[in-house]
Amino acid sequence: MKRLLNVLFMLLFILTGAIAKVEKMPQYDITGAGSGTEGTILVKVYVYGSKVSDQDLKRAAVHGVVFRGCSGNQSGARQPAMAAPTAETDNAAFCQEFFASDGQCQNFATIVAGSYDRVKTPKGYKQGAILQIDKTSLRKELEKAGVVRSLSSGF
Amino acid sequence: MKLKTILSVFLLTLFSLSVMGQAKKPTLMVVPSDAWCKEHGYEQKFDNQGTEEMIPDYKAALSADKQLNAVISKINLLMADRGFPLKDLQQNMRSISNLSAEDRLITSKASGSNISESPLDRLRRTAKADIILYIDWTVNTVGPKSSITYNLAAKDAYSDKQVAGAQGTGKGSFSAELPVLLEEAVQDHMDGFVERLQAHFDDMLTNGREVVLDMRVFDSSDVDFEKEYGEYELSEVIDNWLAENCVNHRFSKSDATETMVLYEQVRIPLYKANGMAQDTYGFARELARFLGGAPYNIPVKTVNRGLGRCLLILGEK
Repeated sequence: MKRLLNVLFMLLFILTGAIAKVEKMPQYDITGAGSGTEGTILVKVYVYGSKVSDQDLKRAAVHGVVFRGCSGNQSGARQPAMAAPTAETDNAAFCQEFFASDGQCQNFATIVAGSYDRVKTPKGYKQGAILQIDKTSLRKELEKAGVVRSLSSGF
Repeated sequence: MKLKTILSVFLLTLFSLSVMGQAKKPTLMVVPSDAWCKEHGYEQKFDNQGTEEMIPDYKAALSADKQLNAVISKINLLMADRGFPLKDLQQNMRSISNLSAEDRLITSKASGSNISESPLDRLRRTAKADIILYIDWTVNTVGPKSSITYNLAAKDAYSDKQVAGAQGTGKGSFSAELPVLLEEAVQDHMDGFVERLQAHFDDMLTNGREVVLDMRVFDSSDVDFEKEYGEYELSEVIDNWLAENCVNHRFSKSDATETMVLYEQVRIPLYKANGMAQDTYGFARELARFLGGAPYNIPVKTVNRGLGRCLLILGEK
């Protein structure tokens, strides 16, 4: 009996460990926050939750630029998503690692100082900030990984 | 000797493999739009067979307008960042001028003869690209507030279709200088523009290159497009050949008389049967070989008009 319980605990431990490893992207909103310097874009990101870290804000911002796009820039232009709609599921393994809390995505976003914001929502809080995304380097990195296609691919 | 042959075959295979799988890349060039040139006074008179026309004077615009140069340079830079460098209008015009001056001075050692040049060659020596990006902007001022209305349109030089575009008016600013607003407009609209251009390239890679075939006859020949071969007229014979050789049998016969036929929206495969990249001229030569064979035996002169357009003149070479 004791042995069976030990095995069950062991299984539970392994399973929870495996689940914990698959980090889910937090729920977030993204809008444009003006034109950045050359090769960069400024975005305003709100992540829903009572405890939101800088890492969460950064990964949400980079994820939004890559897969969602945003509007509301100074010039009235919409920023389209960098990748195709199916790119995230097609490259699930890479995206899981890249967009993890300590993933490579953290290198492409910088939080603009003094831009933190906290808003009460009917279901709790959302916390936000303005982030600068290094669009050119991010695109190059994702092109290398095959998540984003280069304009000259096929020629 | 044997080793040398094996090495040559290996290198040849490697070369053909590297050539295969790469379709012919269209060239792109940014030019100011006609409306912009007119608004800023960069126009010149042109006598078109007795009718006076005003045409854009790109040379004057590029040598006098610093803002235009900055905008073109910025677009070129952003496109190069996306792995698709553009042809530069000013540099292209300079090269044409330098090379034609050089060509005039080249003579052969033996007889001192010059390079042969037909009037058509001279006429064709202009700045050209497969897709032309027309740029246009207007500065709007309301009191101290300024904003920019920006328009960038990519037009296919052969099908005359707009293949991509980006336009919009910025929110405006009380304090920002105009060059800064213009730079922001170029930068912010670029991604949307490139996304549409990518969609055009994707369509081309899936459904073939959309090209135009002009077909004419020499007046000295007895060939015309209504001449019958069996139960089919010559233009029907060509229709059938196109239906067999176009991607998904897609083409449209826009205009036809006994002396001319115009085929538009002809979707040609990007690769030949041997895997090499194909352009309109290559496709037209295949058609010319078909018409030159039995039972038609029609000699065809093929005039290349760029990556997406070709003129075939039947009856003589």
